[in-house]
Amino acid sequence: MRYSIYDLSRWGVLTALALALSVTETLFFPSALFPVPGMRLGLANIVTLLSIYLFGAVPTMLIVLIRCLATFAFGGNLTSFLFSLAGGFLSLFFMLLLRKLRVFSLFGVSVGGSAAHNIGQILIACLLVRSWAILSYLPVLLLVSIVTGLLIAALSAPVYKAVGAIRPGGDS
Amino acid sequence: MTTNDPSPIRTVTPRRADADKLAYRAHYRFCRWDAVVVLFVLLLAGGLVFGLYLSAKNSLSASSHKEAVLTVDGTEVWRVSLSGLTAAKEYTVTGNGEKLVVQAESGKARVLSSTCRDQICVRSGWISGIGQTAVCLPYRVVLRIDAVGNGAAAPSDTNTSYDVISK
Repeated sequence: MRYSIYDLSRWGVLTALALALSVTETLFFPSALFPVPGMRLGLANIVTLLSIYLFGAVPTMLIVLIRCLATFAFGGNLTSFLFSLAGGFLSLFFMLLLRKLRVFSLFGVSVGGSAAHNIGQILIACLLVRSWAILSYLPVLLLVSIVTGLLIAALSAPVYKAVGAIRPGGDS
Repeated sequence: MTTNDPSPIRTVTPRRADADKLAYRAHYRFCRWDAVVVLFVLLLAGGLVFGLYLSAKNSLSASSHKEAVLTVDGTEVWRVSLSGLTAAKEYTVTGNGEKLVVQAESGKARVLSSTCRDQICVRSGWISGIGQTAVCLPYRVVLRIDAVGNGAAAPSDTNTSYDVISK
């Protein structure tokens, strides 16, 4: 596959946006604010979602990978890096799958993605402490992921509406 | 259609433009298939709650009392019966300059303090229900309430104290 400079710069802009959003999120919505451990808004998912629709699978994988690496480099620790990588990629693959089915809109893809994100993180947590006990957090996190997933989709929809008008479809 | 063309000026036939419009309009409106996804996630959460409830109930019916179990890296390091505790019991996990104190009282247990950075274990507070947990991910510590059957004589306080956070 050949990519143009135009494509590369667009991915770069979205990667920067993803980083900015995840930093903003940790600044203004620290996890201490939420009652459930591990609960997050996942603002950076806006970028993942848009990128799936606008650019397709491979660039989105790159964007997610670079986001995880960069947040790790900006003073994350190894545990949180593992968590964001596992959650990020499981949700990405699930979103790509839902996207391929072509019957879901941004909303369905987003909700499925954030549910998969939480499942991935809980699984990694189970692996880390070698116990299935943490699974009891999952139902609450899944309920939360419906809300955050819909919110993320609602935030992405206007952007997609505006950008998609310039270049509809996307994964051509 | 050359989609890599940065120029906003595109020559498309009206029919193609309409098709494109339809194609992406369908993507930003909530549709009934999205409701299916939401429903599926709800069902998954419900099924999980039901499964966890069943497993907790099973272990409860076969049991007489609750025990607090502390595991580090999957290894059990401390177990104390929670019934008939008159005074609070404490256990400290140390190693690598890390310190996590667990406290058990009659019918409940908690992580009293921890030097870890996110303090999720401490904020979980008292736990008392069977299967409930307080987890410290940085130290890989799980405090769990277990139901223990009548068969075995209740071990009052197995204290296998060794340094556990040494990786």
